[in-house]
Amino acid sequence: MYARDIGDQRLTFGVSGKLIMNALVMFDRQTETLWSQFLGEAVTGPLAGTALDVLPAVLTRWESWLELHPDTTALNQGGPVNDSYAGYYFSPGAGVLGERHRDDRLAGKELVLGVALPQGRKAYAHRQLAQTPVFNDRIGDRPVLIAYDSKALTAVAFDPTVDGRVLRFEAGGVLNGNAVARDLETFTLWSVLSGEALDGELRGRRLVALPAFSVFWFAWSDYFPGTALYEPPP
Amino acid sequence: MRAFLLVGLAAILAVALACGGAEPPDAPHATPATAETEAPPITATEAPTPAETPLPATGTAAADEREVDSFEIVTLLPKDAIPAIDHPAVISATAADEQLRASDLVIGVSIGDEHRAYGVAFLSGHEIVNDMLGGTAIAVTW
Repeated sequence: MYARDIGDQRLTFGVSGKLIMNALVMFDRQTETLWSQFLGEAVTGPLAGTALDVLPAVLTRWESWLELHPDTTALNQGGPVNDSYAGYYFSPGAGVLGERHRDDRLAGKELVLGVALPQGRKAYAHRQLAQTPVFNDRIGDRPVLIAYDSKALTAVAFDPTVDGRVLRFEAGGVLNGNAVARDLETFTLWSVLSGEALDGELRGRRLVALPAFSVFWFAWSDYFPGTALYEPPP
Repeated sequence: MRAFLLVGLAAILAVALACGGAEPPDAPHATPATAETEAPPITATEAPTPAETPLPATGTAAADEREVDSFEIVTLLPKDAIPAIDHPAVISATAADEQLRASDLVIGVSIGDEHRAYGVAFLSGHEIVNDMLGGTAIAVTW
């Protein structure tokens, strides 16, 4: 998800009908610039080279989101909707264009959490996160907290720094239906979905979400050949 | 996440045409996809310099664009064949609970004290929602 303001110019995006490596290319109605959704950057047109500001968003289940934010609003979709792509998510094909850089470290349709920082990028397989749902890691020299809520199917990345101190985290089980992480310095319980401290010494504080999104491995590895892929310690 | 739905729709279009040309309900204006490559391929590192100073790349996937050596832009559908939402209607959690099943996937967004959910199945037919939340202009993309 992105902010639509570039300086003092507000953009409105449409679907261009074009793809880059199987991923959406948007255009803006103000300048007709083409934007890669995947890269968050203008690729051709008057604003080429401009980056959009990434805003944090999570992919999750409705019940988990509603539990977390009972006062949420929602986009009116007119009624229940069935996902016409449900069959696509688990079929073996990797989009109509195929892959340029096939990477057999994971199956193509495995979901990964892709984290993109100035210090580098790294992918975390959802399957791995289901086994170890909360852990500290590093991307380059930057500490990161990776967390997964298996019921919500939500994978997130946070900055584990609070008041200048890098906290270490472990899985804390489930609180009010949603997964929580526990830091080993204060034993505060933190919501995996929101990064908010729910109970303990640091209650009310909030971890800063890092730019990350869940995506098929074939697409992530196609855009970023040779990408770092998290491997758990033996 | 969300990146591959245009491909999915194109595939559905192709299937619909193969099955006798039925129009897919979600894209009444769509014409058949001919995967036509725009020439020449664009090299990311040769992208023209923007007229204005670019905003700082606050952690986009383009953190180091040189890793994306070059890419082709492929045209599958006409512009706006998949209609983005420009004037989203917003409902309460109670009303939304009538539209979304407990296990339905949503994209959840929080800005300040405001929270909004966007049903993924619905987004599949639109791909982009131009919205306002917490006073910020946002593009929710799938």
